[in-house]
Amino acid sequence: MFSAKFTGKELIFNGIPVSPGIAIGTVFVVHLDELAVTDNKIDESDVEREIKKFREALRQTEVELKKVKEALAEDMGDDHARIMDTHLMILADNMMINDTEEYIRTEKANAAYALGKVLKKTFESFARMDDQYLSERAEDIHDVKRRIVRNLLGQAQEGLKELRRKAVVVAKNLTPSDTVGFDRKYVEAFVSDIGGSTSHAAIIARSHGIPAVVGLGNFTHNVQPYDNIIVDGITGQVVLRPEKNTIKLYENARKKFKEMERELLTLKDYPAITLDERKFELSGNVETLDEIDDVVNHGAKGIGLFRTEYFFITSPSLPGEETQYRYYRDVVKQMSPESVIIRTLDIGGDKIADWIGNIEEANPFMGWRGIRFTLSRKDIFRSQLRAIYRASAHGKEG
Amino acid sequence: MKTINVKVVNKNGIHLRLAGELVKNCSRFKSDVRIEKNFERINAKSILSVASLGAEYGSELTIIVNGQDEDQAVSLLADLFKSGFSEGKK
Repeated sequence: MFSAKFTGKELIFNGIPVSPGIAIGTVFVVHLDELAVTDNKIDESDVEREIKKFREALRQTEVELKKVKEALAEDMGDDHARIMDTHLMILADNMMINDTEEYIRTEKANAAYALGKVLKKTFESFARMDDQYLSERAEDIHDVKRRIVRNLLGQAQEGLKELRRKAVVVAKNLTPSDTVGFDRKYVEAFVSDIGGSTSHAAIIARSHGIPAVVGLGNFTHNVQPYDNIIVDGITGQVVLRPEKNTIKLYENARKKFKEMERELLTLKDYPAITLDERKFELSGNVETLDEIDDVVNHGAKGIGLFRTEYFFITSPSLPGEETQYRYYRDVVKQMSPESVIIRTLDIGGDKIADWIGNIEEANPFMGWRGIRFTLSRKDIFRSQLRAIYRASAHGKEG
Repeated sequence: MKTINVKVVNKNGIHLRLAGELVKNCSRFKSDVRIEKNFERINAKSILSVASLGAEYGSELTIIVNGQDEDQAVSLLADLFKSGFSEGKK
């Protein structure tokens, strides 16, 4: 499904093209912590500077954790905020700090790598534990590590919504919570290790007209922030650190693609009728309100599928009938007099676990989702049906 | 140097939060505090080390304290383990 070829300096990968278009830009990595740590050595003369950098990252992380604690206390009360005390203690752990600094000194390792090495032993002992309750606590340590590494690498972004430059977004996987509030104008393309044509990143990319390639295997292992990158959402080819000639080649291809798009747009107002004069209704699929303009501009007559999962997942709390009604009403009004087909929630219970109480499942993909979820939470189903019914009053009749 | 044997009475073992409690208590003393489980000996003032012991319910630990306030430390730690870190009582 994927392959990597090394030709000179540039790396060529082949994945699954899920949204057409060509992008030439620089990399922005989401969840950088897991990926961008290299084993690059530092110079002897830089050891003390590296240690200073490490301590500075610890200090920044402390400020960050204290802010989280305050926010938690405000939202959920002091009891919940106390979880962060454990995080703060991990951060201040002398074993971790001393061993990491020692590793930097003796191995001339960069700080992020050294920290990873030191904590690896800790994670290994956690993995060996028979007691599941004890071993699961490793997640808290991962969280602290993630924050330190992020600060070390000088990329304090929490996610896509922090993106403030034009970039090609690279991730292992892009989930709805990763893409919450992302700004279309900064995203030149999506690239991910896993996923297929129906994965979240693909849907979002297509609906926003962003080129995307997924299923690239271990692509993120090779990538560094600010790397030059070319994404070809037509063939599925991704070129990392491309050479000048390659860039020229793709600049031409991009120009051609844009010309073709422009040409196709001139056809949008023709009626959707086949040669034997059969009339078709041409409608678009949407997930968010801001996609509707795009659908209308491309000449669609109505919305054939309005998915509501995204709306639910991105709401700050479980949306009630009134909130839903207002949202659906806006969709219907914007599309009027064309029709809108709204799909009721088709979701895994794990996705909205925050509001409905934690559930633990061995494999959420096989379990409490879709129709099973709908029927076991008839309260949610009913409120959605009522909201859709009320919103329909704003649309066309019949 | 003082040594005591203790047993974990907490149902969920010495999980991360309890490890934190233990570290907090040990850090109040000047003495060096080590914990041994299955011949593995770790620094009791490091939350990561304590947590990675994986001291589940019923496991037996040896605590080794060395320093000027070792007597106070030992008696406090013995109480702490016996009371199950007062877990659930708050």
